[in-house]
Amino acid sequence: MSSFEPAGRLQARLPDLLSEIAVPRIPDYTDDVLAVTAATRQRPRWTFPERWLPVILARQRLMAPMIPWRLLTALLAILALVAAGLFIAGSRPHVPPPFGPARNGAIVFDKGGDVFVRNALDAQPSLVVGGPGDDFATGFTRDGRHITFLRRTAGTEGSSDERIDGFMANLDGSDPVDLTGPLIAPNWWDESPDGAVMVVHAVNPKLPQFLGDDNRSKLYVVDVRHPGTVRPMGLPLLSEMVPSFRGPDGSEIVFRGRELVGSDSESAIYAVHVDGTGLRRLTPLGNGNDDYLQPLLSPDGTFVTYTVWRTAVGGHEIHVRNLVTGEDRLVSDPTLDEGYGTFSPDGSRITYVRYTDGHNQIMVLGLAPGSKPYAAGPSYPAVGGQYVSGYFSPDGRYVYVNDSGSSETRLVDAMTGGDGQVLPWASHGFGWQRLAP
Amino acid sequence: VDQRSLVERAGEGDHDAFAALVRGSIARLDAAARLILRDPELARDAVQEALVQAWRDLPGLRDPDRFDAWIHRITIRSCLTILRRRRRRVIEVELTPTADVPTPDAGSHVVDRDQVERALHQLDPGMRAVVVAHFFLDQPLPEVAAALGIPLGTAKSRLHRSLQTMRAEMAADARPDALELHRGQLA
Repeated sequence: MSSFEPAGRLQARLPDLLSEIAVPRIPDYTDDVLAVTAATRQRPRWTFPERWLPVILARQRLMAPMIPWRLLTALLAILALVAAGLFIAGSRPHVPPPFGPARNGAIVFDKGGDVFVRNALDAQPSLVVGGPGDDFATGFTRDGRHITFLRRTAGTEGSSDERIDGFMANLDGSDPVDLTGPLIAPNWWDESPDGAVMVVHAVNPKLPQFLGDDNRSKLYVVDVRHPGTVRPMGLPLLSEMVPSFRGPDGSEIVFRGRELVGSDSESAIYAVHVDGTGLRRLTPLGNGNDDYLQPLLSPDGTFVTYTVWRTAVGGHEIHVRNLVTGEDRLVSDPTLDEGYGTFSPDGSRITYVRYTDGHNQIMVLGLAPGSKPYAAGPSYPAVGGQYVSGYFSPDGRYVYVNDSGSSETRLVDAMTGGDGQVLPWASHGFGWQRLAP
Repeated sequence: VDQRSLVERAGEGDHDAFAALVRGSIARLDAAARLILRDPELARDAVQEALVQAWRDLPGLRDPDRFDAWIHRITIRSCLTILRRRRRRVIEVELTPTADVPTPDAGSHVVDRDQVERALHQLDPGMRAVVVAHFFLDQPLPEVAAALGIPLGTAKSRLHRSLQTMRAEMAADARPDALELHRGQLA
């Protein structure tokens, strides 16, 4: 019998004994370590959009890749018909295809915690959701008959007690419905082509907070017809994030996941059906922290663009991978720090961020061999923690650029680039409705 | 200056703030790494890699109040990564001369410490990491499980088995004829 019986005494003394065994002291290599860190480039905060940011990315995601919408004009037409006393029964809105190019429609944006709609870029705005709620991340549903937005229902932005609900309302803001209930950091969501289901990545509150949002993120499914709760997909992975429905039929959800390999985590891009069946890897496994960041699909579902953090040089690179053949192509300049691509509606180009000398710059690159990138919008100073984003308009003719540091949004010609036009009313960017071509 | 402010400043690129954080935590991180790895040079490598990663990724830390738990987790994982890289190498354990082996004495504090040290060394690194994270770094078991990437139940069972193993080793150690068994043992 050891001197530690009865049971429990060992545990009680272990903390002190371990301290005696290891004798914590400032090691003589402390200055060496600090010299190494001082010479190491810190990863810019904007490169953590999946992990640190509670809302802004969602704001942008909801603006751009929320792909198909039914017509706002359909509603207006119906109202006109009612006003004229004409029959309306049987009229059905003409909707765009769920993936691919569409015609530019109405604009929805947030300002001061309220939601506004413009029928065109130069039209007068209409307040559609006001009141004390802090609403943001505006967009449209795929059927075009509703707007979507997030509402902060508890805590403050970025705090551990922050809770955010996903809402849907009519185009005039009436009949708002809380789709999700309170979520932690719902940083990304996408809607099925038929509009029946939304899939969102949000933090699982059962996992320890210190892990950070990315390690706690899991996929949840929202049944739009039975709103108010979310259903965990329950996938056998450590974490899941950045879900998108895959075209052309939307039968699969593609996302970035991490799984346990030995005692370490590795990442890959995965596909799964919305009911949780058919989980499969679409890529080889990579580093859990650094590979397959923000995978986004081409509209036809053939290609995915993703970003890799290169530790050795302290920068990013952008890949485009053919999910059918497995061909993987580096499309960014290997001498530069470039990341986070987003496809154009026809899949022929991407926008991405170039990070140089403390500045953020949106670039456009054609994916045909020999294409040269060009700038869309000015080069913005990288204000601590802020970043710039750029997305194509539904018809692909424009890139709208938002710099969260300066709260500036610009509209830039997607074919020629340049500084474009400032949209002073859209400090947080905006969502653009897709109309049938 | 409170730690939260330092973490926030360090996350915005203030290396002096990061240096202050490091000086406040590196002794414990180094000790934890030495307990897990049983090799001061490996511990140095693990702590250095952990701190470089921490500096690099600090802008992504969402809650500054969780810095301690976050840096502990990074360090534990760094230790296990280093072990995995070197798993094919046998780590030589410095032998304690026979003359220095204390005579077992159930009432001796020195015996307790040495017995615990030898018992700890009998654990595999994954189990040692659980013990060190929980009892030395004072991490709750759910956080230990998450740090090691294992289910909570596995962490609980590893801790239970670790303590059982340590008790058994110490019981054997307490018998004079068992002393020779520990000499020349390899990790």
